[in-house]
Amino acid sequence: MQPVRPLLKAIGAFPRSAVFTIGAFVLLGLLAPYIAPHDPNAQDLLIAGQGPTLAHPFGVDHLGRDTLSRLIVAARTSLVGVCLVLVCAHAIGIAIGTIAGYRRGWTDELLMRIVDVGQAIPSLIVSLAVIGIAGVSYWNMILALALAWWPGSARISRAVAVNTMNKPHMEALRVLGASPVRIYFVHLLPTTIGAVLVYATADAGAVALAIATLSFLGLGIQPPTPEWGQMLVDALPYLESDPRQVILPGLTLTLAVIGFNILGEAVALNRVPKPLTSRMLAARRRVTAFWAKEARP
Amino acid sequence: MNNNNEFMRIDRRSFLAGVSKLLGVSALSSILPSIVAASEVKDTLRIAIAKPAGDINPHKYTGLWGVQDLVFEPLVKYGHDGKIEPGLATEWSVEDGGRLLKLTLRKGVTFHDGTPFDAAAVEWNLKRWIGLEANNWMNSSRLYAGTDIVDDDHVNVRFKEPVLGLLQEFAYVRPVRLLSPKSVSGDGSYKAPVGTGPWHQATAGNEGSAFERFDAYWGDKPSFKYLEVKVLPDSRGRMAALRAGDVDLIGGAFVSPLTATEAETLKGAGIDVVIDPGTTTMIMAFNTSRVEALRDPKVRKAINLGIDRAAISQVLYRGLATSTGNLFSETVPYSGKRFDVPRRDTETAKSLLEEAGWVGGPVRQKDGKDLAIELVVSEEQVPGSRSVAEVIQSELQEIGVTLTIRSVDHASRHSDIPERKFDLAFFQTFGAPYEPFGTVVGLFLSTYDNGVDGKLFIDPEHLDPLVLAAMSAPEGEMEAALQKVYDWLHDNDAIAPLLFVPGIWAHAARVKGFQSPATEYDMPYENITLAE
Amino acid sequence: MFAFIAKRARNAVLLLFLASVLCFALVVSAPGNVAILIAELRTPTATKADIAKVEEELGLNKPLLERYGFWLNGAIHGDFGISYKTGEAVGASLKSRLAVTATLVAGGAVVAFLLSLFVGFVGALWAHRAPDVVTRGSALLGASTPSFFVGALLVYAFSVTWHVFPTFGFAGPVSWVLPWLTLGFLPAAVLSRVVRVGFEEAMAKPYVLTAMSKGLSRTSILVRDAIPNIAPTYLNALGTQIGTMVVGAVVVEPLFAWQGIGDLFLTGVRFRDFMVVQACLLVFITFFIILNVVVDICITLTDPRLRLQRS
Repeated sequence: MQPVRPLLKAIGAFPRSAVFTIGAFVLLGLLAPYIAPHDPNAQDLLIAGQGPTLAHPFGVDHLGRDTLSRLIVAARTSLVGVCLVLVCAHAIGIAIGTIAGYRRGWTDELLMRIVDVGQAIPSLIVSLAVIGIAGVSYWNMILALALAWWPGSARISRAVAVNTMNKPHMEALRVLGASPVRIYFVHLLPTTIGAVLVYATADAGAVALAIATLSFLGLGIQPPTPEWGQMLVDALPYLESDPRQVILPGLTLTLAVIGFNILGEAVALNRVPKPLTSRMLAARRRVTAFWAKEARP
Repeated sequence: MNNNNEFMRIDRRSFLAGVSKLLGVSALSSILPSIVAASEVKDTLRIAIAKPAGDINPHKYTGLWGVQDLVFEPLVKYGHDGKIEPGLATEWSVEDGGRLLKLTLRKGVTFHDGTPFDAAAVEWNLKRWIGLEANNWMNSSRLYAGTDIVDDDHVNVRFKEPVLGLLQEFAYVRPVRLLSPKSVSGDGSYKAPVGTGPWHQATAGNEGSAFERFDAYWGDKPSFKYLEVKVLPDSRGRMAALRAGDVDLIGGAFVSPLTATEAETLKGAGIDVVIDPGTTTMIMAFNTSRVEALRDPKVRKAINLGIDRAAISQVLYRGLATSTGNLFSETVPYSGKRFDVPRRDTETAKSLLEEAGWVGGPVRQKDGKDLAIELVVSEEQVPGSRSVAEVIQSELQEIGVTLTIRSVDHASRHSDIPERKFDLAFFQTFGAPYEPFGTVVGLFLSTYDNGVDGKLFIDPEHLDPLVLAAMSAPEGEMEAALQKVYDWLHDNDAIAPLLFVPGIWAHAARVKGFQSPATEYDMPYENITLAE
Repeated sequence: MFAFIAKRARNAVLLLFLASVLCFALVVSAPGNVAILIAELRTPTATKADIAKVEEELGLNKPLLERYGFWLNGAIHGDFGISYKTGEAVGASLKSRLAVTATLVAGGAVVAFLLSLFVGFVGALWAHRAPDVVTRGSALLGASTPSFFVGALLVYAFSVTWHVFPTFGFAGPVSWVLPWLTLGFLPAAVLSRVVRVGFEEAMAKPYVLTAMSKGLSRTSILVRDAIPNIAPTYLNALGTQIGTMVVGAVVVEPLFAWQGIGDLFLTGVRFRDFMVVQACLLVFITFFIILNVVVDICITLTDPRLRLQRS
């Protein structure tokens, strides 16, 4: 339960606006199939493009599908996508970060150089390149985004791991003869996961926006799955004749991202408690700060 | 870095001062109003193109058709309704049962570089493409026997066998149009686009190409002096540009595609929109070699009946497209007799599926297998097809067929379709001037390799003999032989024709006299005058 | 100072080498046969023999290490092979497009710089009052709105409705304004927060109290004392945002029909034109690695504490 406690503690200290928007987003995502009033993919071409009515409070889209249901189900698409990406990215990142932090020496050196390369390239560029090579599909998109996001996680994990390893109780454990496996899995890994989870939530907004952008470019989620970016593209031809179709998904996307951005800022400004030292915080805030080791006195 | 000490002395103050000066200067320079050379917009027709014109060598397959059409001319032209009209040849006759083409060349024509157009130039051009392996897809090239120069104005082209659609082939954009023999480099390789057309290229690049009127043009000279094609890859960008007055003309299937919805938006904004019935048909293909279920004509018929063509053309094409049950529209020569447009009939469709052994629900099953089919869609290949696919998906769900949509990019379509890695896929017929044989032979004859386009339907046992019979039928019996092909396709529900794709163009108010081109491969500049 | 720069340069070269290996590995691991694509480009009806010929020609059947050496040597000399789609030399198209992207990003940076300083100043001068709240709100909105949406709105307002700026094209400063605004908007929003927060932190420092007791005005304290203090943080963030803008170029260039590297990259991705994707990726990585070194040096130059420490 070690990873959960700091997370719960952190949520208590989150900015309230962020808690509300993110809470709404997560709830919608989890309960989507139960609260969506209509089948999000059911078409009725006869009423295509119709504005709000009693049956369809947010109107319908260009194929006569209920906009409200699509927006709600899109939250789930987004949530699932974001979670998958973050889980994959952090799994890679934490594994590499903790190994580097545990082993130190040349392993650390080599892994961190690879992380440096990964961090040097913006995530969208990496994911576009991966999609350009692997082709367009849902799982390729998840893979591409995960490959774009792991270096950040690896760098933080390493910082946490190094810090943990330097704590006196670790030294005591070692002296007491705890096996490396025990030290790594029982003491190092859970502490790191707990600390990194807080950062993960702050990254969620960027990932959600990335999924929407990729879908907007036609390289992400494929129809008919409702997705905000995809809905925006579908509606753009109607920007003038029926701006409602564009504004609704745009606004929803922006709101969700704002929630995560407020949270991200709070994390960056150290308003959210973390089991981290201020030095590591500085490292986090300097996203482009390479060679963190050398920058230290 | 030449002075070590100097460099070391850079401190914060001087560094910050320097940086802020630099930023200040660049900011100022950007704010200062600049005098943009007012190009002769008044005398220029500006056409948006979706991608750069590329290498417009008329004997290669790389350039943009419409731009090639500006510079290069054919011996005979393909007119509206399929009529063959004089081009660089004033008269022609097909003799010896179709084995000999006699051409009388137009007098007084010169290429842009001053080279006279004569029989030698025609022979030189023919040699650059005819009879080459890469052009085997054209009957005239595959069956080519030789060229004889009679005199300066007369050329005879001989063929081994009668050539089907010979004159249509000679009206194509590539590889048949004529390049100046003097324009190539010493080793004969292509250097510059020098043709006989009314426009000669002034500049070309990734942002677009500029053309100037060729004042020694033999025919009706355009009324304006310049023509520019501007690359605008984004369709919203094109629409905004047209409305803001930055371009004058957009549209066409290959020039800068406009969807029906976009056309409606433009119309709503007071822009002139011109709709042409078009000569291409959008068709859904069944791949019987990959899916067991589709081998049963009853299943194919059920799918055909499950699609609401009227709704698709009404809603997705805003009523601009005509739904159809035919392979070709009536604007195509030898398009055959009209079949009834299949009307959506879910009850009949369901009972057909029951008869075929597919029972149960919500997804029908047979021998424990779901009736699940995959539809391959490439929005880049057939614009607007994604929405059509979504509609068909939801309509077929009602009769118990599960359709999954696989969106692919251009490259994947070009490999998957010829390799027959699809269950269902959208095709478009080639349209004028390639019809009817371009489609009938190219998309249906199983033994004929047509490269990346793939096959719409293949049945070596039943369909191939009919196609071959139509290909070798003499002039008088051709129509009946073609009708047999159409009938077979229709009776066996081998294809699901959906609608005739309209040609949509939109132009600024200053463009007067616009007329849709005879084929989607031409650029419609001909009758235009510019107001103001 | 020199030792510091040398160390950075050494690291950068090492990173570049690693990056080139990754780039190469990415394309080698690509599914599908590259030779088929090239053969089809040459003749639409390519046969198996044609494909084998292409494989032979491009050395696709050679061992990996040899291919890497061959490719790296070419890349260093600006030869990135030919595009599978257009048949053009990738190196040449990169070269012709560099200036376009550079103009876009430089202009976007200027917009972001001026706008963020202005908004940050307003926020700091009227801290926690109406102007601050408004600018904060719009900054948050700006940072959360996708740039394709911002671009579409700007075009609709300035070109279609008011006819002030052209909708597209790369023809002189007038046509540069909208793309610059579109690209600079999001970074400006993010940077203005950095300025605002930085000022708040700086103004809480004891030296501000000293300055105030000397009778200096709030504005002059901001300019004289606070700016130099937030400069290192700001430059760092600006560096990051220039990186973001290069990414933004991928979205903004096609919107305005600019033929830059972002546009080339996106087309490459769309058509799975591996050589183009690979070349663009390498260019991007090189740019980002150099950018990081430059930012690092700038920070050292603007922060006397760091400079002392690193010399």
